[in-house]
Amino acid sequence: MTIQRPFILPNCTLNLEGISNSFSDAVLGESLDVLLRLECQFGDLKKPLIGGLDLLNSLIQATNQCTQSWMSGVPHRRLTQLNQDESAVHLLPKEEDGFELTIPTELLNETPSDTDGPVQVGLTTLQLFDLVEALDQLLADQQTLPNLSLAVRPLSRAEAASGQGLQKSASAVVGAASVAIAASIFYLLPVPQASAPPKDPPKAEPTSTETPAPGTLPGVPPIQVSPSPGESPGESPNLESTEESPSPDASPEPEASP
Amino acid sequence: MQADSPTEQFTSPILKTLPDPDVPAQVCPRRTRIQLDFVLLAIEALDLYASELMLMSLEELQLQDVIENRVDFWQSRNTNPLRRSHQRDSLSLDKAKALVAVGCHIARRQTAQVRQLLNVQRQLAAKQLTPDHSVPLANYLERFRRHFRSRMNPNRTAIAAYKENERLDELALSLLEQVLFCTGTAGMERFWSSLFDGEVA
Repeated sequence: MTIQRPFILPNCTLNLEGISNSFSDAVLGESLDVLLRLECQFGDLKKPLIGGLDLLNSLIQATNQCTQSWMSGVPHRRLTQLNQDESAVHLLPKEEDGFELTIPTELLNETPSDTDGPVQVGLTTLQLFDLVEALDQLLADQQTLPNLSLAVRPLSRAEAASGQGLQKSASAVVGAASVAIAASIFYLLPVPQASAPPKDPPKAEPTSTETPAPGTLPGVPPIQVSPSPGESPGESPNLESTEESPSPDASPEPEASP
Repeated sequence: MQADSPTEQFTSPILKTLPDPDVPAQVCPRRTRIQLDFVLLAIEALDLYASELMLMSLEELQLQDVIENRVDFWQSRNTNPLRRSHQRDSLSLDKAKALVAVGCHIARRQTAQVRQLLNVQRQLAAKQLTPDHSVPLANYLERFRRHFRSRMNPNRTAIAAYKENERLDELALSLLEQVLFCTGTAGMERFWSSLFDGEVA
């Protein structure tokens, strides 16, 4: 006697038919261990698709891979290569919105009469969620194909497509390129010539109206307590232009100088 | 005898359900922290009481040993480097698991609302109408914009990209779709796994 297990969601229906090869559980009932027929209706399909365990396995793999990458925004590096396998179900996000599921006719028991090639199904995000949810409920049901399992795991660095990494690190690349361009421009610029120091020490500042305290170096800011003994007074007037002339009160005491 | 030892620490079953990814130093990478916080932000925009419900569900899910109180919860969220009040603390895997668990727990309560909003959004898009034409959708987007702008640091380049409402609405709708997948039977495992895509050895 065949066992039927339906998994019904608003946008997806999976009907499994199979037989049990184990003793039935008193509480949980019979276990569907061998799948004979899978009927699924989802997305914009006009007629349900009918297949077997290969179709179910391929649907689980394709939906898992695409959902994982779509949720994280990190595409699978080998997704293009994997999609070249024409004997498996493929699921890819569309350019604009939604997803497209491609099912090869080899996985179907009955080929739809209106098409020769693989069956193409358009899915919205909600429809994809319902398909994934129906498959997850099936996988979680210990009384339906208990040997069927799926390990959800993150993509490794090697599997993650480099395109995403490039997109995310674009600002870093632009920054590094800007530094390189700026460096090459500055390399071409002539080295500025250092202006020779004035040969004659400038005279005492004519504009200064206040006379510094005896022994105080002109132009030394008040907070600078001890000017270097080696400094000649003639080297400091350049500072005079930016600093106020020290008042006699605020100027360091001559005794403080070494 | 060892099982009866009083010093043995209790571990929530949820922490055992989610596997430890092979990440450096066993702390969450930058993208994980950002993505996790953003999805929780979308859940909070769906329900004004979501933050309180998340705090309450810590006890319900026996996770109060991992995230002890409101401050701990707030500090864990602030490990998102794009937040205004970002602190340079690391986010341990256990704390991230606890955040994922409470987020998915609350998201499941919002399943009907999320489905309705996504249905409406699709219908409006088919008619080439903006989301403002639906009051529930406009409310969600408005709350998300308010939460996002009040909590995220506008000086960060990644946040400055969402200066315009249209860009921020796109992010809010994209996160709403992710919240939908968090509500599923294996939603917690799928969400947890997606947080570490391209980050593990």
